[in-house]
Amino acid sequence: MTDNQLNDWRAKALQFEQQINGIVIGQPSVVRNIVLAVFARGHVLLEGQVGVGKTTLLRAIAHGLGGDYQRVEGTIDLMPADLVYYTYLDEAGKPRVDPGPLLKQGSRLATFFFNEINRARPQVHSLLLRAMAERSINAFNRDYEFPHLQVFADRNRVEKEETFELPAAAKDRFMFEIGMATPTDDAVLDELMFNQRFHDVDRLVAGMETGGIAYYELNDLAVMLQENIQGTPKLRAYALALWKASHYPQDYGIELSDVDMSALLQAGASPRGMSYFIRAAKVRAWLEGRNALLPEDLQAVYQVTMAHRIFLSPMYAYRKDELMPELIDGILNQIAAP
Amino acid sequence: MRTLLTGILLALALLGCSDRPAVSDVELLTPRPFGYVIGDEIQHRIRVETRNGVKLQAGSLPRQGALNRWLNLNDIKVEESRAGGGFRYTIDLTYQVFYAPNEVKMLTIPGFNLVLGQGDKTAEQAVPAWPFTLSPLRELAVRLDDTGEYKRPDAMPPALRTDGPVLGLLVAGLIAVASGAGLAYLYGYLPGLPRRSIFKRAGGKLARLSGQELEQGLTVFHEALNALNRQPLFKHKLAGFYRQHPQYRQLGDQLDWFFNCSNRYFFAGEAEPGPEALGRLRKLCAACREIERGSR
Repeated sequence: MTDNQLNDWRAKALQFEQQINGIVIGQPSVVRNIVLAVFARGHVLLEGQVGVGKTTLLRAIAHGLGGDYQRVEGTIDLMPADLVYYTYLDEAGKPRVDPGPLLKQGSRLATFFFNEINRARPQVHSLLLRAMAERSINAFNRDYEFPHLQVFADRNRVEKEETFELPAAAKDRFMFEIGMATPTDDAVLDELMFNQRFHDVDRLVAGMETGGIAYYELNDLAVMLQENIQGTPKLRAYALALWKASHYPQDYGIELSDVDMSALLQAGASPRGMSYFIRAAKVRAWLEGRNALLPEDLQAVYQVTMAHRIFLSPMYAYRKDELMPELIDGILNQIAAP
Repeated sequence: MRTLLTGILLALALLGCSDRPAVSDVELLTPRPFGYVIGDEIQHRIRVETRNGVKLQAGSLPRQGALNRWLNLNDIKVEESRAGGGFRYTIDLTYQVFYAPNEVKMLTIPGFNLVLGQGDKTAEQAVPAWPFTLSPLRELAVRLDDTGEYKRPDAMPPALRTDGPVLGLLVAGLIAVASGAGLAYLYGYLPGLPRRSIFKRAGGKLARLSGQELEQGLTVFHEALNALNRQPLFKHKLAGFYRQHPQYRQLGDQLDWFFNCSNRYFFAGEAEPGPEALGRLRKLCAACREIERGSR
């Protein structure tokens, strides 16, 4: 595998990003993070207000990558079996059992959307955890493999009733948690309101080129990319400091207002989280056209990989929305690289 | 009051000469001839203009010192300048009288002859005697007043007001102290203001490094920038840094070079030619120091 191949792939990746930016306008950083996740082969949890374009974004990604995709709406009565198989009576009146949405496409399944994941029961979460972590599930007395599976889940923050908070273990399996806010730029809002193009999502997504990046090549590309980009000892030391700071922020002189720093955290980022962190940072370095990993790559992906892995102690949990960004900013702003 | 005796003197001068007078103009300027007491000084001024080439013989002037029993010549000054073909002399004489009269008395400052010469020819110009009256300091009979005192010293003069000079001194002192403090601030000598000497200290450390110690050099400069920024400064945060410290924007290219060099050295594992890069780093630090001092 050579640098030339990586350069060709980079051009395709940037084009892919540009196309998505044309479909979901006013969200360049969200799109950038999603693209990082695609090439780092990580699952993504999207969070945002209703109607900001989460589903449109995910449909555009699936369309662009090609491959099969499935989509499931989370509801309170959804059970794991509903994902694995479904039963019905055929024309002859005989009962039939067919593979459900998760199994239907077999190994060709590339993108799986789980809308409103927090409405599904914990039993469904646990099935999904296995599918995400091992990319396989057991059904009909055999294992089904999904080597190219990438799970995107979203949840909205408006309702709390009849929802199940994702357990820490489930959150940890997502590489990124990406917050998607309503655009505030007047030009973007005007475009979204008055440009006919954005009113019909089906046509909008269908207008995107497909197959530029083949889903079945992504795993090999990810391996090549991870091997090709390496960090120097200085950078490793910096990454280690960032990780440690997510456990012991007080050791790095990070102070938040009205907070006893030693009692702030219940748990910091997991080792899996750190491997995701470095993988994502390497993809960013590659997209920026570098072979070397720089501190700015680590900083760019720190918030999206860390915020859902750091757990505040119950005393401060109710101030999470206010404290977490401050903590992340504090860590990034207090730790010097060289 | 000064008396002008030009006419008389000139007439006398003309009488003293045969064909061509040696003097073209003579003036004796004298003060009032009355109202003097013992110890007073009397100023006389004589102005003489001579004809072509005629000079005053200094020996003909009265000698400084006692002229007689009661009259002293305290000072004599002669100024000579050219006027036409001849000279103009201004002679200042300061007499002091020591006569103690019992009642108002007429006295005379004696006259003398000025000798003017040209080659071996001489002519004389008479300065006339000057009469004046001298008064006693007190009555002849000593009279005592009710307190039994008659002679007494003058009342002490009122002291001069010193408010103005004292205020001026205070203001000047304040200005001096403020200027000193300002200079010390600019030069980074104030220990309490280390933020004004970040690059001074960094420059000192850089100067001590040898050409091969690029890593320490880069670290020193990173630390200086971090100290100025109050938090670690990365290349992608330079825009925010320039908003906070707009005066460093003029060094944008050099700071970009520094961050690229640092990134290559620390994170891409590329070696930079040490002495060259270190020299450039020192220059950059010196430029930052100038900005820090406000002289750039």
